[in-house]
Amino acid sequence: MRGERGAWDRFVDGFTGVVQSAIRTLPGFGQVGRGEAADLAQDVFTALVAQDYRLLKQYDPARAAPATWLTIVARSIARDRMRRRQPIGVAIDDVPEEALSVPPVEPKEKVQIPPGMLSPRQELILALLYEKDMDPAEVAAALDIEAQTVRSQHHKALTKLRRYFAEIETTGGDAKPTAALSRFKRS
Amino acid sequence: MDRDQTAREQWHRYRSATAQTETVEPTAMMLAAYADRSLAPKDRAAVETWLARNPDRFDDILAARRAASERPRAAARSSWRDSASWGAAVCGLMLVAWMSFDLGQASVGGGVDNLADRDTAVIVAVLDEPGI
Repeated sequence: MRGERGAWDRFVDGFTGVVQSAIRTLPGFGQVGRGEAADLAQDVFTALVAQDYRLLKQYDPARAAPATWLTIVARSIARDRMRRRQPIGVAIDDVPEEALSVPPVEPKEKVQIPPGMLSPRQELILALLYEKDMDPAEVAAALDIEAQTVRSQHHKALTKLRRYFAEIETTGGDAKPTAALSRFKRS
Repeated sequence: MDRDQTAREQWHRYRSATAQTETVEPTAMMLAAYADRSLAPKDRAAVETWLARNPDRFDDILAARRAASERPRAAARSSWRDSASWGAAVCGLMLVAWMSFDLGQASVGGGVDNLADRDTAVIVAVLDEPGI
């Protein structure tokens, strides 16, 4: 590695805690041993200096604080590394029968949603409420809005979805966007 | 707030129908700017669209915000292990931050900015070394 050891050592010393905290809460981290955890943190620092510090050079202090950026980067790198790890092999005879069953394939939704029917904010609110199971107060805090705004955007979005799918049922099956359906524009 | 099963199913239908819509994963810098609430509105919409399709990644945003909010305390602790001059400087900065009456600052805004500057200086020092 080129460059004086001092600056890099200060960097590692100053941000090891940030990196470790960042990856500690990743899903699946609980199954990682202590040695592997240290390897993951090392992988993050290695990635930062790879190819002539290419990743580190991408940091722009005008856009975000160092700890914020480093947390995002560390979680991304560690997540990729954890995904690539070889899964522990289990003899097939040791796997319960029900675990081997293949769930029925859900038919892909054939409906074509008019572009912009829900705003990005409405989509995110619904995703956080229904997929992350966050409550309105948590969503409000996460998005820096009032809880009442979360509720009202939730209500507006669901009203659109309800009406749209009801109209789909009326027109039947593989409805494509029509003039009538295109009125479900974002509001 | 009513989150009944029908609403959940309709959201999943919507998700399934829009799953093929291409969204580009934001860069780490964009996600960090979003976490720090400094992203321009036009970029914010693109990030939120992507996050809505990848809601598990919102955990990264929350983790990054926690890291930034915990950083002043962590940095202040480590400053005591640095030289005495750094320790005195950090104490002075934190005292100024606590005594600040600028209501436009976040609760530890002034302190965070100065310590974020210090963190940035550490990164800059690495990149400014000869040969890099």
